[in-house]
Amino acid sequence: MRVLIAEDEKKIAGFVRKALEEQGFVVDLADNGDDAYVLATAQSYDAIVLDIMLPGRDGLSILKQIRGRKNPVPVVLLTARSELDERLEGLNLGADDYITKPFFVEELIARIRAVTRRASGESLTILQAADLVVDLVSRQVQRGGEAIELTAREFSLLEYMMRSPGRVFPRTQILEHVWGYDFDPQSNLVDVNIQRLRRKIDPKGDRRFIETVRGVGYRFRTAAGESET
Amino acid sequence: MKPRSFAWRIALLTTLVSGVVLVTVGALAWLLVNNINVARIDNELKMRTLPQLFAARGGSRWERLESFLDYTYAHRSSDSDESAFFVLAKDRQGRVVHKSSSWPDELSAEQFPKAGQGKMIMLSQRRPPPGIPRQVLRTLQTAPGSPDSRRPRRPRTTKLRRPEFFTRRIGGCLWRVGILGNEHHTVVIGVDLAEHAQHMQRVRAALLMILPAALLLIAGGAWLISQRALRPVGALARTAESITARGLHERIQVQEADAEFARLVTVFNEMMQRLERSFHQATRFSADAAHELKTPLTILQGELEQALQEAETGSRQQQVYSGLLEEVQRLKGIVRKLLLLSRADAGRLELNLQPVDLTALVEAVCEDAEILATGLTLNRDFAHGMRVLADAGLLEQVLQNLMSNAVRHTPPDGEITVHLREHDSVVALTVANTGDGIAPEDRQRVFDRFWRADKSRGRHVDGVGLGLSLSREIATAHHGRLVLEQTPPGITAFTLSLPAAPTEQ
Repeated sequence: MRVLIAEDEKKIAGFVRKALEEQGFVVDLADNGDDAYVLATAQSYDAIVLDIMLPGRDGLSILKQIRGRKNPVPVVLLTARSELDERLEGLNLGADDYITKPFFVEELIARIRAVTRRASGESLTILQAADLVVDLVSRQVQRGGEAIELTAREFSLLEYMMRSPGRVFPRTQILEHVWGYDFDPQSNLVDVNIQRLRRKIDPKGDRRFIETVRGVGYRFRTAAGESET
Repeated sequence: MKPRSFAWRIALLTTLVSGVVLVTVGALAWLLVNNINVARIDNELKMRTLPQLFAARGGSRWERLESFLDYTYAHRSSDSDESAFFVLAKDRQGRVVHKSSSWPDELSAEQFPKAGQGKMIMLSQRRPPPGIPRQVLRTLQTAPGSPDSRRPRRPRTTKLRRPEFFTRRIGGCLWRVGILGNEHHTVVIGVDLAEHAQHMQRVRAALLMILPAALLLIAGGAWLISQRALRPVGALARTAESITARGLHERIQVQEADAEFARLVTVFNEMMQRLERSFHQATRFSADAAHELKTPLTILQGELEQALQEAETGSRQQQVYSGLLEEVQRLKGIVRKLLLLSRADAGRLELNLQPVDLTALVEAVCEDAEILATGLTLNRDFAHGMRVLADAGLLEQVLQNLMSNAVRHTPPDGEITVHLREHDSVVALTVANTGDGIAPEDRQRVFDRFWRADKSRGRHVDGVGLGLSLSREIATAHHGRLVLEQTPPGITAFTLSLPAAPTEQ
């Protein structure tokens, strides 16, 4: 998968590129609007991450020109302003998604995956780990064919962690994704909900799906093995 | 009564001054008419009497005079036969030569002087003395049988008593009495003033009718004029009232103002301009500052996130990164709130409005609160299916803020009550908690920015004291309200009211 990152802030571009490359993406960087436009029209990308505020041509006009050339490449907008008008204008111009700064790279990668999947016609509707099946459309969870009742928060928590198995999720990142901004990061909200979720998806205690990372947060285990490593 | 409005006071004072002037002018007019009238009567008496004084000798001239007077004044009223006049004539020796039958009894003939007494004036054709009308003089000098006509060669001079008039009350009525005469006779003649009094009565009635009407007109006019004059002040006040942080661009139009007001308006507008400029500077500053903070925060967060993933799982390093990430998160929260607040101040808090099930949202936040507040009692009193048109993200932030505040300020064995109801198309959510409550002197300040009830309390993610201020701005942007309720001591309650979403058909 080949991705163009148009971002003038070198450090941001740097860690985004690194994270994407770790996930197996091939990354091109452009630090101004004109370069970004040339690259976007000359090369064929699976996705483009466009900062709206760019020196030279700004993100929105690049998007407009790309779409004007009937190029359907999926575009994720990066915005620092989070202003509604700008976001709506971006979406109207044909952006597939947007993400506001400051963002978690993990979140950006999830968005890029989602838009490329949508563009290629396949869609992620089922998340599965061993006999645990999560239906993202009907929002139903089953373990070994048995339905499990989850609250909205618990479902959101499970879905979030299952999307990136093996990744360490600090508490504060989970809190921001599931609850938003207004709770104390040191509160026990995340821990209590994780415990409840564990009891529900693993009532017999025969398989620990969610692993505690001491002093940091949690991780959804990839390996089907029983042993903790 | 105490006048409250300046326009009212101007009108009142104008009316008062005009009233005094009108009454004075009225009184003067009345006196003038009275005097003219009396002078006319005096003149008439002279006209009637003087020719008889110089008429041919003989008793009949007094009868003649009486019949003249009778013809002019007749009776005092149509249904009375009392005469409206009296006459008395005395000669040089003081003998009464004629006395009309109507001579009043209470008047003694003795009190009047005999002929020749009093100041005499010389009459000559060339220099008519004052007080004697010209036509009277002419009558005298041509009267048949006058001394002059018999002795034509003598210089045409004669002596005349200076006429004397006064008003006296006789028998309960006012009479005008005149004393006239020459060197041979003195004539006392009186005329009833009843008719004159009636006349003056009519004048007074007319004045009494015109005066209040005029006063009313003046009062009305003064009111209108003062209203009109004070209109720019009203406009000024209205503009000042309508000016909020969001309407600082408002100015007052000056086209038709008078010089005094034009200056006031200009000064006001200039002040508004300065206010607007400094307000915009302040708003821009916090927006810019918050915006500038976003790039370093993105870098910090991104690098930490990356480092955390790369560190050995469960290592001390990873825990440090996690702790730092929490601090970045705290900073993000503050920056985000500042940005939202500055946008709200600039009147540009944009809302992504959509129908929101408030009951479900409150339910979820209550579940969180139960986890946060172990040991507390949480009472729920919800009406179901409360829907509002709102920006879901911002609304949830308000709810979380209210709930986490309540949890934070409730003692371990305390209670939190959440009440959700709709009344008159307004959905009201009340979050009440037991505890120390808010001190009366702090009630005004709970919505102030960076204000905290207890300065010594430790840090929290919302510990900077922006939460309530922002929550209120969000409520206002939704055409709702967030208020601190008046509650008995020991209970703190905030109520968020929002317009209910129109029911879908």
